[in-house]
Amino acid sequence: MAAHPFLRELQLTLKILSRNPSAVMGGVVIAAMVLLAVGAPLLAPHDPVKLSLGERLMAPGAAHLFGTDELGRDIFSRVLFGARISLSIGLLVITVAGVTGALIGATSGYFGGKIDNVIMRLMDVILSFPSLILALALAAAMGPSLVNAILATAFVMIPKFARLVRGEALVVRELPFVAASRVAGAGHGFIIRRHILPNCLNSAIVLATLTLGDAILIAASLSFIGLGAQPPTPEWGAMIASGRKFLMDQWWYATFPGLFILFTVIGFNIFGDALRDVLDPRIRR
Amino acid sequence: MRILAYIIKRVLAAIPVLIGVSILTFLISHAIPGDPARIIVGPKASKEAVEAIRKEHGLDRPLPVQYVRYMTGLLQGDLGQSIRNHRPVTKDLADFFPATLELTLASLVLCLAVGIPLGILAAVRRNRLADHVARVFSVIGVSTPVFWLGLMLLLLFYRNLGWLPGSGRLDITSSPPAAVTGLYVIDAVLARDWALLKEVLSHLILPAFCLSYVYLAVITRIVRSSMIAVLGQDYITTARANGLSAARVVFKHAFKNSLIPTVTIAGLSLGELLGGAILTETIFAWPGMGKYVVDSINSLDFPAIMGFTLLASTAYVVINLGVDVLYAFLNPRIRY
Amino acid sequence: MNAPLLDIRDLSVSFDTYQGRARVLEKASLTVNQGEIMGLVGESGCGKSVLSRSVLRIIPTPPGSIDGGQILFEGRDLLRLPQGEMRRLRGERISMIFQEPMNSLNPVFTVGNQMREVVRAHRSASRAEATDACLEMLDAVRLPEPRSVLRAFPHELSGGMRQRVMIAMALICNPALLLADEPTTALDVTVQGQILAILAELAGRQGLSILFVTHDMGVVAQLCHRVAVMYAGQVVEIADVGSIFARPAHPYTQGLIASIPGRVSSGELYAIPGSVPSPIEPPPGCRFRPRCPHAKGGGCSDVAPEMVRVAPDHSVACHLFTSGGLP
Repeated sequence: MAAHPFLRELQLTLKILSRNPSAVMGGVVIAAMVLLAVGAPLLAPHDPVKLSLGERLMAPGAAHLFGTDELGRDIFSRVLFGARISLSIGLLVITVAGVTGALIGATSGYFGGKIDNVIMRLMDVILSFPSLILALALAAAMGPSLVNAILATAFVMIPKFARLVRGEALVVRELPFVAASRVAGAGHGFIIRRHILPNCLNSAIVLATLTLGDAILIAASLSFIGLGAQPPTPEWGAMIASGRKFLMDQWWYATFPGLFILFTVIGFNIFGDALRDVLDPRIRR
Repeated sequence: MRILAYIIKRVLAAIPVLIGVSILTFLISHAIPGDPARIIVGPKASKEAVEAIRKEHGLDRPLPVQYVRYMTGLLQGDLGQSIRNHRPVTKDLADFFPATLELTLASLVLCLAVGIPLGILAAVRRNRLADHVARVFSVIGVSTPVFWLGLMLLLLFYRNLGWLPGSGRLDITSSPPAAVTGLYVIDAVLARDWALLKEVLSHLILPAFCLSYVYLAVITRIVRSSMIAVLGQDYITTARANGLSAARVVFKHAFKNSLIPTVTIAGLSLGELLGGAILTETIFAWPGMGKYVVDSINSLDFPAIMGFTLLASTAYVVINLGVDVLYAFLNPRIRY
Repeated sequence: MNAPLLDIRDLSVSFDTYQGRARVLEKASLTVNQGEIMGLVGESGCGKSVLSRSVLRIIPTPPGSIDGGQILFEGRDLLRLPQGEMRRLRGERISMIFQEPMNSLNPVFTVGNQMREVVRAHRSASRAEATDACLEMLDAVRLPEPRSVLRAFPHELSGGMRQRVMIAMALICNPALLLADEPTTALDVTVQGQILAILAELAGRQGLSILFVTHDMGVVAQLCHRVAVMYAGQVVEIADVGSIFARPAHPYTQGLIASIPGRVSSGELYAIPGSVPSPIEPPPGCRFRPRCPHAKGGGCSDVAPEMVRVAPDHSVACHLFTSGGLP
């Protein structure tokens, strides 16, 4: 009944995590957000984009839990659908940045020497920009759209993953089984795929969880500035931007989407911190 | 003399990074947009105007040639012309610079003044109430969207309590103090205009707090963890065994050591502060470079955006160079 | 005979660990007389460092806690002293030097800064007066060019020099007792000899008492007047240094002596079989029983042996010597 080693590893990780109160708290928040996002069509009492001009700017109440916006749309429903958008943005950013960064880092660390030097200096240059400012310039150059905001955010996060994977690759490539594999005639691509990348998985997952929160924040900031999601998309940052005009008299408009950003990012941050403690081999036994 | 050698080395190492920064900025402005010429003249310009600009700016030449031209202008302080007001971007940025400097400096002071004691307290009272409070506070800090926090502060302190003004650096009816430094707080003090100083501070406090909160969380975390590491060192035991008071052990012996990792990470995290300034200035209508760049985005004023980007990242590199120098003075064991 | 300078009675100390509560010291007792160099030996992890640090009350609490016993110094119980008085005692009446001269000095302050600070923590002295005291003390530990040593940062000094600075710093207020926690272990053999010579000379000249913690029986033979042997958190034998080497009573002490290189003229170096028991769940009865060549059932595994006197200045805690032998 020997389970696959990966499954056993996963089981052990989950067991340790379940005993860590902050991991449980973060996990619950994330799970709740995912449920809200997936269940949005069922849970939302109203159509998130349907205009209802007779019900403009209504205060929170029985009919509209979080009130309505200037076009009479139900803010609660919009926030629920916003969860889909923000979580997808976060996942997309992390996937793009993680995969690209991992490939760059693995190549850099595996080949070493000049290639490594050039690639790492390039990463240093990207890191010399404050991340929000670089993302903003890129998004502005590519033109305001959600896809461009995602690409811009992913771009500024690449160096984090590249550096991490490179560090691990430098260690792994010196291990005997890699040399053996090379002697046996394995190609560079094979070694990177089979040996280097799998060894970086744990730390890459931790980094991904920790940066997911940042990714959501940066993408929301771009949308707030007007470079990301465009109306009428119910994206949280864009909603806050529209709500800003009504801040003085309709407090609920900008408040609720922001609370959801806050909770989501807190969830990823505390879960990521706990995950780092658990997956850290020095603590794990 | 070893410190001098170290500093020279660091300065030399910063030069290729700055060149890299200029190349990346150049590429973003010249290679990514479909038609850089149209971007320079703006979306409403005629076809002929676009063509003229293309010729004038050499945008039909190969990229390396364009870069040399771009760099030549850059070294003479030429960041191009704003599309909105046809003024040189350098002039605009210079006008808006003091407001941003005042805001970021005020936030930085606030961060250090609160974050360092809080981090020390959390480390000394590790796993006790103060530590837990500090931890919750900093998790919330790094998870809060700055722009939303600014709106909530406005809602509370301006709209509901009416304690503080909600926008700008001054009341609309006031005129700024005689410009010496461009920082209103200092200029007001120099002019001995205490009523104005009070007004300036009342305008500064909300945006400065808003901007500092995220960074404050970062500082508290670093100070806490490096203090904990230092407090476990042998020389701390020696200091205690020699009968030094707890205050001396913590604030002299442990603190100076914990500053060594703290300044490095604090410098690297300054990028958060610079990025956050864009959002904070927008929320509080603070007339600085951040608000300028967001206004530029809304009118697709591309030269202005790229000028700001280049300036902000250059500042970031230079600040971190300064941090490296500070590090050398804090740590007598530089092994370079 | 006068009352001893330091009289540790039944000291028990424990630490909270991930695996449970570790009882690192269990009713440990020993004395240090006026002007005496007392050796404290045992394997690493036996609690000898914790014992010396408990005297100054500088073990970290939590996770550590002093659970019972008395530490009488000049007639006063240190464990009952208020914080402020305890602080004044540290460095003034009782000083300590540590194993790692590498990390025992603060790397970001000069030697002079740190030494003057100790002087001025205990008496009001001008900067110049404090500097004079430092120079005098650096001279006493035979550091050449004391002025340049004062200006140096710790990393600019060699290990031996740093340890001399530590000694100078510890003795600068002329304390009655020095706790030396393996001060020569990390040093080269030649430097080790110099440090021991300095300590012996200063002890003789200033009437200083030393509690010298070490795992090196050779150092004990060279320096100490009396020795206490510790095993797994307990003091198992105390005797004058001559008797320990000539007539070791406890089987553990016998093993220690047999394993000194060069003691046995030929054959393999002796090693005590087995390993130190866990301080979390120590074996019942005598803690050395699982490794003892003379262990018998019954008494050895049920009853912890009491200290008994086997000669005028020689006590041992072993059932081979309890009244009437083994029960």
